[in-house]
Amino acid sequence: MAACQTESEPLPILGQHEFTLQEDGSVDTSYYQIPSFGFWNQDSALITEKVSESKVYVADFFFTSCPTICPKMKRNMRSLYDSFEENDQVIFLSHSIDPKRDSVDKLHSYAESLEVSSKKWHFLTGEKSSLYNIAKAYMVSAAEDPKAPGGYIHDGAFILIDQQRRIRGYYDGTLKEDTELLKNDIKRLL
Amino acid sequence: MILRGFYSLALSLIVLSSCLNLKDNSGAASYQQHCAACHGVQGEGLGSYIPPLRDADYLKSNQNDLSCIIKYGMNAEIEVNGKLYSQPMGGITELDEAEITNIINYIRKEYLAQSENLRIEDIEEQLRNCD
Repeated sequence: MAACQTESEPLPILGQHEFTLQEDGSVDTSYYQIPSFGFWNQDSALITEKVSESKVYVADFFFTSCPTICPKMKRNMRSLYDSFEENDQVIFLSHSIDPKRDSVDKLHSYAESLEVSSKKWHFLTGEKSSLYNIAKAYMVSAAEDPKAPGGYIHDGAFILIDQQRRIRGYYDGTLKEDTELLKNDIKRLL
Repeated sequence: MILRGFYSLALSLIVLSSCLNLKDNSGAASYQQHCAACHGVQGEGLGSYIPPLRDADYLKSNQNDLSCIIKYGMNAEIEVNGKLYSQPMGGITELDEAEITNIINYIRKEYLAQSENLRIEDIEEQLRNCD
């Protein structure tokens, strides 16, 4: 899942970019960016794109009652959190895809159970349509499915976003090996 | 003749010993493959999110439920070593009785200091009676 390349090459900038031909014949590239957003975190604070200003962040999608891949993802995210706990240039955004059940209070308890700080790791909830739209903007899947364990299906991806809100990599958040690769790639962006 | 008998005995012991090792390693490997991603490579758990297995009083007092929990998951709040845990656990339905037996014996030996192994018949019986 993660991009295959050597350490010396910069990480790719992913997404559909726009190219504009300038009068002097040069090409101006406008890179794909994660759009603006507004969600509530586990402390009832409104979190917008400004929280990530000049920071590298890792985003993912989950729901608190998810019995299958989420515990693995959260253990791996917690390991990233531990690695960058002292570095305020790195933050984590975990979006619930089950806003009906995942209230701010529920997310607060969830974050507490993981023993993490809301200054660094935001568990986000909000309007259902906004959450599903932002999942599309990160180019990952998230959907209700009554047949799935817990009632939802979603991507297990960790998405690496740079200081300009550009997508720099996708990693399988259920795998320790991919998490280690992501840890290394975060350092390359700092 | 005596020498042949000795070699035969030695060979049997080697084969038996390698079978036992295989069984032990199989439990460890299955644990790492199916359980460690959540419960940790040392059975240490995570905060009050995922319960520990190592020295877990809950496991000691609910040993006969372990096979059903592994196979079918759990969706109830439980107390382990004085902490409450409510994160649901998904079952690992693809595991067969032999793999579950090996995993349980690994957990018993490594995390609960219980050296005697359960037999596959015990686990099959437990699995027939899951709630």
